[in-house]
Amino acid sequence: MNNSDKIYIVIPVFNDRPTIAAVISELRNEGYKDIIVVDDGSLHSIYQEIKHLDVHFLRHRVNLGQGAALKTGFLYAQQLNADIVVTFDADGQHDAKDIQAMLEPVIKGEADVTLGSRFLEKNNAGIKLRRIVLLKLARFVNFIFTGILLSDAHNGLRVLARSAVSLIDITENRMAHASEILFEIKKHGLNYKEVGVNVRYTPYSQTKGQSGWNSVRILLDLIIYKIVKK
Amino acid sequence: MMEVLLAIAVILIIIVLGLFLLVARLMERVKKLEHLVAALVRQEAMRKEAEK
Repeated sequence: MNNSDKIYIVIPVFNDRPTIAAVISELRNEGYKDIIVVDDGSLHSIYQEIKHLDVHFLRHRVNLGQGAALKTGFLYAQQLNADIVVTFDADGQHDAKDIQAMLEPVIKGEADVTLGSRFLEKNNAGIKLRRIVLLKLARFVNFIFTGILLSDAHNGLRVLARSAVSLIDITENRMAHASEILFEIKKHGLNYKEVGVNVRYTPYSQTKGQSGWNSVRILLDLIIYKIVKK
Repeated sequence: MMEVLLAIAVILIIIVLGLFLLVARLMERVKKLEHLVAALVRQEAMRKEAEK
């Protein structure tokens, strides 16, 4: 791969009207032109907010979940012959400047997938203790289910080479997709690397974060996933 | 008395295991339905964007 690689940013969106335009503008300012926005059945379509920004816009008629939205983005990026796919959250918690460091191992062929980690190197002021505890627990749950022990369990910033995008099959419609991606990485023997990233904790991104109840749902989804996929 | 309690415990375990397997089978069906719906929704979304 080289600098002329077609890099597509996939942004799953659900009711992120207050932040989505700013997120896209931030990515554009960093030089990322090809952006796929997947509106996962937001109550009010976000198209009006972003129609002037010239992005690929796909809208699910009903809300399926972030995993399903990512899968739609992956399939569409494959149709557009993407060399590299970046997943990026719509709530403004990620810093577009972090993408470059995550791209490098993939471009150099050192990794098929790079995974963002808020617990490596970077300063993540504002993270609540409750969230730290949940994330630390989640990384052990991930380890039990996938055999991969990461420093950050649920970070939406990832970079995937074309080979990884075609191999990773997301079947979990909701939030358990994050663990499923790790499971697929392990299953297909893909090389992965964690890269330190910043996470901005704004009042908005905090409300969009995973609640304790959602964590229980993720755990249940993972158990069902294991039973069904046995 | 002990034999009766043991028999009840075994029956309960069998019932719980049976229910667990039943729920697992049901969940499998639900997942298949979910995937079918997701595939249809996805297809429509991608078609609409391609038509633009």
